[in-house]
Amino acid sequence: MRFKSSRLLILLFSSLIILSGCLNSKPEKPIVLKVSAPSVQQFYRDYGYGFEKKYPHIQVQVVPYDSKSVDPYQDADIRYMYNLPLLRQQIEQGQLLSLSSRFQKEENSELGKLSPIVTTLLKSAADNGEMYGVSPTFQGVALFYNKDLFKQYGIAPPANGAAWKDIFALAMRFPNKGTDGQPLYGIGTNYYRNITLNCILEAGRTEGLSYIQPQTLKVTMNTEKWRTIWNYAIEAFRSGAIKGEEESLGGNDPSFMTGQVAMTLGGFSSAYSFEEYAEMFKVKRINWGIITPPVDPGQPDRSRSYTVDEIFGISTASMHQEEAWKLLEFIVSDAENIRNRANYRSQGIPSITEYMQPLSNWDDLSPIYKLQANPDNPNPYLVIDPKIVTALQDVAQPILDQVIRGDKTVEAALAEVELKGQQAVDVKRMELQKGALPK
Amino acid sequence: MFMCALILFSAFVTGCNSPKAVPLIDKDDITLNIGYLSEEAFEQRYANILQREYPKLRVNIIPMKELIRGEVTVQQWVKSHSVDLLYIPDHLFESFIDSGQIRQLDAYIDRDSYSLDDRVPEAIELTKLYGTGKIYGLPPTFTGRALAYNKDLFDQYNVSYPKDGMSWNELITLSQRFPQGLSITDRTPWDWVQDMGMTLNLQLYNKTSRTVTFNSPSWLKVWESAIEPLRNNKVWFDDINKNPFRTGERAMTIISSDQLRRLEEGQLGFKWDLVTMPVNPAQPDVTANLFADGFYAVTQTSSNPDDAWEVMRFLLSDRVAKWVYGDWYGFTTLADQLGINAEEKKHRAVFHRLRPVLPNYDVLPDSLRGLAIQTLDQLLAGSDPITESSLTDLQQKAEALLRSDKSSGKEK
Repeated sequence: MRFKSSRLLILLFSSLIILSGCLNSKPEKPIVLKVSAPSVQQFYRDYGYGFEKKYPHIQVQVVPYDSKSVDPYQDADIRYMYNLPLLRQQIEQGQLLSLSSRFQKEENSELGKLSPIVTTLLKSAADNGEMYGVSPTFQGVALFYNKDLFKQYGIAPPANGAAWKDIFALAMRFPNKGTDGQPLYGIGTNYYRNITLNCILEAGRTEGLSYIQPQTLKVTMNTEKWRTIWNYAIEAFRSGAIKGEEESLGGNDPSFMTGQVAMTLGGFSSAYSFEEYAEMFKVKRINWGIITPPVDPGQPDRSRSYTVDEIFGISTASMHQEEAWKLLEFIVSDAENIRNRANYRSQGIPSITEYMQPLSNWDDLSPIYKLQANPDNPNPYLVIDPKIVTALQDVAQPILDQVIRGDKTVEAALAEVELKGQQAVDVKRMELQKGALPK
Repeated sequence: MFMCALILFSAFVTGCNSPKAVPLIDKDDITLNIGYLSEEAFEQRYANILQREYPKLRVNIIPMKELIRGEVTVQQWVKSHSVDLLYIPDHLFESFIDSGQIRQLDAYIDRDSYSLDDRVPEAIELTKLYGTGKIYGLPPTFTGRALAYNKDLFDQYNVSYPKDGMSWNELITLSQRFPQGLSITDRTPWDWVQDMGMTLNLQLYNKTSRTVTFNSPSWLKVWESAIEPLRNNKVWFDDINKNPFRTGERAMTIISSDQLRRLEEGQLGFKWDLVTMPVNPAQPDVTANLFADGFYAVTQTSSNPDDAWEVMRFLLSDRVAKWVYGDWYGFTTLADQLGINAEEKKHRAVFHRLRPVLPNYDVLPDSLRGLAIQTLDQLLAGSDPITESSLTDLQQKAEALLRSDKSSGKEK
């Protein structure tokens, strides 16, 4: 009897196991997950559709993110942030859940493959060094160069980890005219205005130099480090190595693709655009190479050029934190979905870089994400009203022009930029404050 | 007790493994032909969602352009194209039903217990009107029109807000209370006059008998209502792109469903709301302003109607509704997806608040339309009140034109 009942118990027990297994496969309680994102349709097509397919009991509802709205997030479980300063603000306001312990638990899963570039950047937004957001993609920059031009003029092509000083020097070795009589430049840019000034500012940013302080709006230019950059850059400008005319077409300037420019900075999508340009205009595709963006000589293995513009975090007010986490995990690391997304010519580099699709028959694109991330990025546009930054630049460019023409010394120019630049910034700030007052 | 456990045990096992037909997603070698305006149009709307949902399924889009343009008849088109699933624009839906080219879906709906409860009931009623009670096709979206009004202007002029189900005459009276009462952006003055008559179910033209009715006492009343507000600028016919309602100049405007989002996202700087289109006071709960962009239907000739029906159900699902998001094709017929917050839901509800009726008139031939426009223009240029004789004159000219068209063999 004892024997029998124990067998019975085993049987009952095993049927219970089956029962629970059976229940697990039954639909779970349906829930609706609200996600803020800039485009309702784009988010659903990129992530929501695949997620609902994988988790049929969770419905994704997108709350369109409008930065001008007083309450852009409404009651979203997942908050969208378009850059690191906004992520920092949300963390400081206590709106986001720390994800660090969840990440630790998932260290050995796909999430463990997340590029350190992305985790470094995301962690930099919190003073405690924890992760409060994830980003399925990031943006990087590389230096693209025209292999044929380098070969033609017998110049050794640039290598990974070059500094701006080397790049400017390299640019000066090209003649001002090509063999076809057309103008030839060592460096082309995608700036729309204040082109030469922006070349200098970018070289400074690479080394972590700031020229306008975000809180006090104090302008700084008259320093030893800035003077060094001005000196080597001005030499290159005077030699005509940099395409700097105001009539430049900015981001649409095709001169790199037509072989009139030897080097240019570009992002992930640039590589594709070279191919597309050749196809669209039925011209020969240029023979391009790619290296890391210019580095800070003090830290040659790190770059300040990485950004994240598609950050998602879990609202502390969410009633569905587990499901929200599932979605974040899915967005960043679901292999099938990332592959499907890549078909859409995604706008950034997948945060798990092994999903990066190689460009057929061409150089590997890894220099775009080869360097480690330096989150200390003094780009004033991220935090200061662009109108103020532009006001400063508009004052500084004519002063730089005088130096290039030889009408002014670099020393005098640096002092003048600080003085007149500060005045322009102060005037613009007053103007904006007045405009912000209620009428 | 032991037996009891065994029975329970086996019940669980079978419960877990109830046999089911192979779902389409796992089937190999299935090809479906889908009739749609064009391949580009299908791609534009759905991108690659069918490939993602059914990776093994082969889909061919069969363009329906020539049929939609009226270059061939339904029978001719069906004869030369082999299709399983169709997206039929509303103006062709009746012909497909009448010619017996599409399957009645009621049996499929019953067999699969496919619920229509989550649909906008008025959209289901619309398809049943076409099918005289039966369902031959299901619309993924519906379109319509509504009256938007500027609450701030109504408050300022101390006029009580418009209501659902007003008559056209009530709306015209309301428009007289404002310097700039009503803006119409999708009609000409004559179309508007015609609209008002149609709302009252007035007969105008009959294609089969080739008869026209311009001069009935009821039509005279419609013309009378229209002339005064047109003459004293209470009703404005505005450029849809300028749309002075949005700048706060006009008190009211008639919008179609595709214009709603522009109002919602326009940050207009005044409070506004929506009510239904004017109705026929004799039938205050119906409107001829509820339409479908198109109906999905399974063809009679399909050799694989079950899979066509499954893909059709997917194309009508909430996941596809979210994928297609936006009002380009109208509002989704899934009630739950109709707007993403309380305000959007409230606005969209107005568009299906009235029950649909099918238009029971034939389109006026261009020549007669020209005559009507001429008469209206002449009346508007003068200042005399409209009389029976103006319409009798129009009627006579129209009849003469119909007679001469007939004798010269010209068919419209």
